[in-house]
Amino acid sequence: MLSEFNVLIGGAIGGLVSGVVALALNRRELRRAARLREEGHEELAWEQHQSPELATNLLVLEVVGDEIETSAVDVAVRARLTPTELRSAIDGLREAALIEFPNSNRIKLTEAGRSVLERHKLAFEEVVAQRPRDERQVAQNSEDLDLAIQDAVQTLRARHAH
Amino acid sequence: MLAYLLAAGVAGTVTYLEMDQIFTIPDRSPGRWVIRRAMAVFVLLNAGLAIALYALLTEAGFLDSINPVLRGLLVGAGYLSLVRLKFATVEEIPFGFEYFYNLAKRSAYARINRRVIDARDKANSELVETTPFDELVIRATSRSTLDMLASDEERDEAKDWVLRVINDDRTQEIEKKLVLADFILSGSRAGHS
Repeated sequence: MLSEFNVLIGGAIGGLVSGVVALALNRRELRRAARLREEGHEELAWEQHQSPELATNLLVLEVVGDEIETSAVDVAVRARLTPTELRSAIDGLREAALIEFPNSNRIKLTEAGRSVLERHKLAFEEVVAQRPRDERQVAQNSEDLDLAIQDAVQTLRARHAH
Repeated sequence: MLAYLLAAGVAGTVTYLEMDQIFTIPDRSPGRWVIRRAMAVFVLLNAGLAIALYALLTEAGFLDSINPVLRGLLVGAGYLSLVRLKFATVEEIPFGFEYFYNLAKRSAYARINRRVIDARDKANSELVETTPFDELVIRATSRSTLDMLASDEERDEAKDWVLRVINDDRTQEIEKKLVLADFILSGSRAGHS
């Protein structure tokens, strides 16, 4: 026969075991992150060097870090980057060992990438504001954008008609 | 019996709603039933644990003075609080059941997430194969215009992005079409899934 005391003691022991395991694994992660820092993998430093390229890299890190794993297409859509902009960011982040590809269509953060992201903690809007844009292509208002898209659609139709 | 079902129902419903906010499954994507089955397994697991908790507390004589229907609702909600319970925090690590629960949750979410990525890939490819580029552009623009949750600025930002994708001269058309197809099908908003 279970008593209230038994249930409470069981719960307390379960919680304690869970905490001890989490603590041990966290210490291991901290050691690994420290080792990666020593090896010079953390190359992003927003405070020292703010630039549109770095903003794009942090934006990509943030979007990738939102998911357990994601796809390049999804990152491009959610970070509002063109495929070319995304490729450039991914090449740099991969070289710095901040992201990895578990398989050809999946991207995830490495421990070093997570550590960089946690250190920066930039608001999404701030990073978006710093994103590189081609001024020739940024229209001034919604109507201009609609007109520019209509023109682009006409051009595509004409190109496909030929 | 009703109390057991209520405990399971509350825990299962909240678990489902949490997953529904995270995973975007295109309506007609191939593999969507496999994903829904995987989600159902995690929902049933939580519902089963809530039933076990109810049985345990009833056996131990907890909450005996409470109406069984109310007790079922309380245990269902209480189960979800219990698995996230922290007794104390040491070196920023919570002592409680949270760690084990998060471990199980991450494992389930990782499996579901991989299937969602594959399903979205297939759905995007199917849309790209059956839809010309200009129509994809029109649908993507409509998608951003019709997003009632987006602000005017977010709608303009999405349109600006569509325009930049069209004019991205260093990318092949198929890649541009895939990106627009994903935007149309997933409705991903900037910074959110």
